[in-house]
Amino acid sequence: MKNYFKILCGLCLLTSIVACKKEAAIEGPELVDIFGNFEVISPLRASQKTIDFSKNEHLFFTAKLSIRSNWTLEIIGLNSGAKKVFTGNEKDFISNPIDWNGSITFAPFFRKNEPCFARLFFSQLKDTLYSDTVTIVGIRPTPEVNILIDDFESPQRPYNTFSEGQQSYNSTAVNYQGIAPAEKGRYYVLAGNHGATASLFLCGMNLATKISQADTNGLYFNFATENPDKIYFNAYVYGWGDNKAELSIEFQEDDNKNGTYEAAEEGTYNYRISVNWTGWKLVSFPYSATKISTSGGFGNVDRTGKKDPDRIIATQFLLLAKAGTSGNTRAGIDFCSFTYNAPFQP
Amino acid sequence: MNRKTKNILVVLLLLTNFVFAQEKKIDFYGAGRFNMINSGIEGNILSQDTTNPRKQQTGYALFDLGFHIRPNENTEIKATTRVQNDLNGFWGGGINYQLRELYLRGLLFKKIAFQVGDLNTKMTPLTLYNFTEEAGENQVKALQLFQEINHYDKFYGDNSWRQQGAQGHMVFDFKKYLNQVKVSGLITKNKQTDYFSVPDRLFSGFTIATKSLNHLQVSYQMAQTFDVQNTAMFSNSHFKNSVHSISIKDAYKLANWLLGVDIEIGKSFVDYSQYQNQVKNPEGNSMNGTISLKNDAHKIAVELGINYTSTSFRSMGSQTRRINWNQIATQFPYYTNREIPRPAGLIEIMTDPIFFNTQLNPQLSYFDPLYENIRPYGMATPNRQGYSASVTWKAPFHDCVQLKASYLNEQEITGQGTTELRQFNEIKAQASIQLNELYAGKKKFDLSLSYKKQETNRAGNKAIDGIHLNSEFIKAGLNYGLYDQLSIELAGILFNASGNEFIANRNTVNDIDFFSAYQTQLKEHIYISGLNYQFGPNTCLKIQYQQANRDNSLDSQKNYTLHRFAVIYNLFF
Repeated sequence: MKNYFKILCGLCLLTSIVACKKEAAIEGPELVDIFGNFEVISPLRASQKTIDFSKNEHLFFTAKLSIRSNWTLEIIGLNSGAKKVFTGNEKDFISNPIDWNGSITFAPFFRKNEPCFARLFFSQLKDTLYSDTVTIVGIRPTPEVNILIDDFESPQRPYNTFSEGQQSYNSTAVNYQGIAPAEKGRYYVLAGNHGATASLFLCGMNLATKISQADTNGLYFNFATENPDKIYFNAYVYGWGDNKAELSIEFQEDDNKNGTYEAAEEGTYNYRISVNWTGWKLVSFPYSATKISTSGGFGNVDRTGKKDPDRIIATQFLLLAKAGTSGNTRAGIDFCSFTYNAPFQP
Repeated sequence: MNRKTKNILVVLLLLTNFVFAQEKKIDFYGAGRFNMINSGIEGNILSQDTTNPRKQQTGYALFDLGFHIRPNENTEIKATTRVQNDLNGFWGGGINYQLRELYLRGLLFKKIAFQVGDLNTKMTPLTLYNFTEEAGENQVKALQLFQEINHYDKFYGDNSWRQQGAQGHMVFDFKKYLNQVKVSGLITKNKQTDYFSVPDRLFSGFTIATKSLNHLQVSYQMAQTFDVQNTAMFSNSHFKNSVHSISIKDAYKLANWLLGVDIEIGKSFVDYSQYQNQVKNPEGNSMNGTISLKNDAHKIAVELGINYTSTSFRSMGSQTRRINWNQIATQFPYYTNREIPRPAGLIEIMTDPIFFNTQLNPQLSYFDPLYENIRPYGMATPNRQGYSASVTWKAPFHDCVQLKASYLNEQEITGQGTTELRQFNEIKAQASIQLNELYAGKKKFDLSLSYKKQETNRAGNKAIDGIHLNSEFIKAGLNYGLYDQLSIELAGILFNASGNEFIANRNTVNDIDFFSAYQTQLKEHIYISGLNYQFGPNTCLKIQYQQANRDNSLDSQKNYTLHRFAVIYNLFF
C-alpha cells in the first residue's frame, strides 16, 4: 500500500478521534422540568397589597413551580370585570416576576379603589393558583394612540356597508344596543344570520381613509414611519362567546396613488381574527403580520409588490361565519387605531 | 516547484451542445402531462363532520415547451414555458402560464464557463446537497412516476437545489504531480427583501478541486449564506452561516478488488451577532467517511462508513429538508365542521407536490420521527455519531437478481433535555429480481422487495425522558408484462410505528426551547393495482387504483381510508 494511503487512513482516524469528543451540555430545557411531578414550591403572591398605577407604580407577581408548563395568568377586577392576561411557560417567577403596569387585555378598564386578584392556570394541568386581593388606589392614565381610525362615536359618518344577499338579515351599524362600549358611548357591530350551507361571508363595512381622517383632509394616513413592523393596528373586538365569528380586517392600498382603489390591480392586505371570547378584547398586530388577499380580482395583485402603509386608502371590516356554524353571528368593534413601535396598551 | 501550467477549458455540460451548434441554432424539447384523480375518503375522521366533501375530482393537463437557442458558438439560452389547465377550468378559465426555467450559459474568453439565471446547484453533502426525502428510497415501480413528476417539477434532479443566480467554473491542466485543478463558484439569491425589515439573503459557494495523476482527488469547499446589510433599513437581524469542508477521494486496485476512500471533513460557523436578543454563535464540526471494496467480477461491493456531526453544526445548504410538514394536504385538507387540518399520511408525502419544498431554509425544520428519526437532515444531521455497513450483490449474468443489505448505528452526542443519549439502529434490506430471467420467460416479470426498520431508544424514566420508538417499512412491487408495452403493476406498502418520542420545538435561532411529548401506535397500509402502457422510454399512460389506510389506535378518531383512481399520461420529448 502506498505511503499516502497510510497518511489518508491516519488522517481519517485522527479526525474521528478528535471529532468524537463528547459535548457536555444538555441541549434544550431539562425534560424533568417539563414532564416531572408538578409541585408549587412558592405560592402565587403579589408584591404589594395596594397599587397606584397613576404614579407609574408596577405590581409584580411571583411564584415558583417544580416544572415548566404552558400557563396563563389572569388579573381580574372584581367590580369592573376588567382583565389582564399574561401567558408563558417558565417555572420560576421569583427570578423573573410578572410585571403588570395596570394595562388591560379585555375591556373595560380597571377602576379606582377596585380590588382585583390574579389566578394562574395551566393548559395541561388541573391546578389553579390564586393570589391575595390587591386594591388599585390609582388607575393607569390611558395613553394616546398615534392615529385614530375611528371610535364609532359619529353615527352620521358615511360608512360603506355591504352584505351577502342570501342571508335572512344583517345588521351593520353603530349604536348597537345592549352592550356597554369599550370606549365612550358607542361602538360598531357587524351581525348576520346564516344557514349551515350559506356563504361564509356575511357582511362588511368599508371606511375610507378620507372619511376617517376628515380633519386633515388626507386621502391616506400620515404615518411617521412606513416600516410595517413598526405600525400596529389596534381595536377592541367584542365576542359573544359563541365561537361562530371571524373578523377579517383588511387594508386597501392605492398602489398607483390615483385616489381610487382598483381591486383587480391593487393590493389588499388582511388579518383574520377568530372571535372566540366573551367581552371586549384588545386586539393588536403589526402591519407586517397582514397577508395579501387570496381572492382573485379582489386585491390579490399588488402593483408595487410590497406593503405600503402610506397608501392605505380604506380600512375594511368583514364578518365571516366559521365553517359549520349557523344562526346569528356577531362581532363588535370599537376604538380602531394605529400606534408606532408597540401595541396600544391602555 | 517547476510548474508549467496551461489553461485548458473543459466544459462538461456545454461540450455536446456546442458540437450540435454547428448544425442547429434552435431546437425544442418539452414535456406533457395529463393527470386526473378521482378520490374518496371514509373512516372515523368523518364522524364529527357534516360539511366537508367525501369525494373529489381533480386533475390538470400541462405542457412544457422548452427552447434551446444558440445565437453563437459560445452562448446558449434555455427557456421553458409551462401552460397548465386545471380540469375545473373550463374554456380556459383555469389556465395558468408560467416561465418555468430560464438561463443563459456560455464561455468567457473561451476559458471560463458560466451560467446565469436558473441554476441546479449542488456541492457536497456537508455544504450544499438535496438529500432524498423520507419514504422516497426504493420506491415501488407503481409510484415511481409520481416521484419522478415531483422531482421534475421541483428540479430535484441529481440531489441539487434549484436557485437563481450565477455560477461558473474553469479547469487548469498540469503535467506534473497534479492532473487537473478545477475552480468553480456560484452566487444565488435566497431571499428577497421587503425593503423594511427583511434583508436580501444571498448564498455563495466555491470549490477548488484537484485531481492527481494517480487519481487522488482533494477538494476544498466553502458555502456561505449571508444577509446583505442596508437592503432593509429597519432590519434588526443579520444572519451569516459559513461552512468550510475538505473532501478526499481515492481508489486503489488490490488484486481483483477496487478499494475506494471517500472522506469529507467540515466546520461550520453561524453569526447572529446583530440579532436584537444576543444569542450564542454556534460553531460545529462534521466528518463522514466511507471505505468501499468492489469486485466487478463477482459483482459484490462492501462499504463501511463513519459519521460524526456535532450538535452545533449548521449548514443551510445541506440541512434543508425536502418534505415540509407545515403544509396541509391538497385533497381533503380539513376534517370536522371546525375545519381542522387533516393529518397527512404516507401516500401524501410520497405523491402530493404541496409537501415538496424548493426553498433553502436556515431553520432546522420540523420532521415526523416516525418516518425518519436517524438522519432527518441528511448526512449533515446535527448531534449524531456512528457507523454504517452495507453489502451489495448482483447476479453474475444479466443482473437479474440484485440484493442489498445495510446496517446503521448512531447515537447522539448531546442529550436533548437529559444527560441520557438516544441510540439509533437501522436495518435495511432490498431485493430486485427479474423473475422471467430465472425461468427464461419471454414476458417481463419483475419483483421488488424492500424492508427498513428504525429503532430509537433512550434509557431513563419512561414518564419523563425514556424513549422507545420503532418503525418498519415494507415495500413490495410486482410488474408483469401482458404484452410488449402493456404491463400490470401491483404494489403494497406496509408501515407500522409504535412507541414514544419527544419533539424538539426550536426557535428562530435553532435553539430548543421546549419539548412536546409524542406517542403513537400507527399502521399505514397502501395497496396499488393498475396498468401501465409504455409508448416509449419517456412516455407512458398509467391507470391506477390506490387505497391508503391510516390507523392510529391511540387516536382512532383521526383514522381514515383514502381511495384514489388515477389516470396519468406523461411524456418527455
